[in-house]
Amino acid sequence: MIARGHFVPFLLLPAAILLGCVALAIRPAALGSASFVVVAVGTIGALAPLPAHRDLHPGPVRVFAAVTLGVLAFAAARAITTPLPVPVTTLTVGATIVAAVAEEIFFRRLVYGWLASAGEAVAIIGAAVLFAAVHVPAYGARVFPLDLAAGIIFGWQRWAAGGWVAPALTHAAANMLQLF
Amino acid sequence: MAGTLVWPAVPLKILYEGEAPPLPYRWVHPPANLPEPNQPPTPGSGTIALTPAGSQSASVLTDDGQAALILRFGAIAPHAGASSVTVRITPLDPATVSAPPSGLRFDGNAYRMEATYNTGDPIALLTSVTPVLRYPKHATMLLRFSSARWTSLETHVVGGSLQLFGPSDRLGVFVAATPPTPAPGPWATYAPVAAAAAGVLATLAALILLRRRRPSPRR
Repeated sequence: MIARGHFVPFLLLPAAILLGCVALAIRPAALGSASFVVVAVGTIGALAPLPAHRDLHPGPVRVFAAVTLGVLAFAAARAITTPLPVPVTTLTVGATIVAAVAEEIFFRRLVYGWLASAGEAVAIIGAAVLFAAVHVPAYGARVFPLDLAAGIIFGWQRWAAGGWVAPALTHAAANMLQLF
Repeated sequence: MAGTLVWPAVPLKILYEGEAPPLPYRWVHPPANLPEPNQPPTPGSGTIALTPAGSQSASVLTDDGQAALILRFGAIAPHAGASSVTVRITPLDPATVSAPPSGLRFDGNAYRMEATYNTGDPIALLTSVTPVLRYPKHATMLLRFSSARWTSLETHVVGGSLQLFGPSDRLGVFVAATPPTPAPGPWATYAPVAAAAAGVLATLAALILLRRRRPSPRR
């Protein structure tokens, strides 16, 4: 039986994470309700209370270095692949930035923060696996290893920079590299 | 990086999420009962430079983004006297090309993809090229019209952006198709919204419970 004091961390947080992942995985292809799902998942990630965890508190130079290294990795991947062409509109650009930030708040703040009590490596890998898995229904199984690698980079940034802002900036930049 | 080296030959979406509602599909021959007035689809064209090893890598896209042709470096053979290749993409009503194969229906326009050297000669392909089509509703197969019939190609579907693509060893007319299946029910739209809303409620419940449990400050 779950002690009353553990009700929140043991039931409600995993439930919120599970529901957020399910919503992301089954979000309808390119419809307006997908935008609602993304914003709601970002809200879950932003509001959820997290277990106490001691983060690194690096200076701005280290945060900048983490973002730069991440962006360079995605730029290199972009240089050797051909992205699927999509029409670039203001709405497309805005939606992809919002999606990037919302996903990073969810996976690198909430999921990472929830798993971090088991160790940083578990948090990085666990968040990356969930991140890759929710993209499979919409983008196919081929993207799983790619998104897993991307998730590990974001998780490393989360650890190295001590917060979700660095992976969010990198994720948004990576999305823009796919558009332009 | 390692993952991209595994599939260097096919287009990939790395991370990019197509959450933006799609622009309305532009039909050559619009179906009845479209919710809004149809805009005609647009063609596309592009010029690709030739090197001694063949064509440069390139993507040629229609102006409305509904069709594209992706060519890897060296996909088009060098040709005596030619310095470039012109690629043209033209939307067509697939019904005017040929009836769909038995058990399939078209989903969207057909697109004729053709290319010529700047000398006017038809091009020769050295490697496969990748046609990319956006589909309006639900498609699972990429068909190519060749030898007076539709041929099914190896197809990769990217539902997140309503696109499909596949390798083709020749140019020609391409169309997206699917077996006639019932349209997904309203659950397909409402289930993810309900799951996300339930997640928000669980988060709010966690916040409220934690606030109640927090000991009041001693006086």
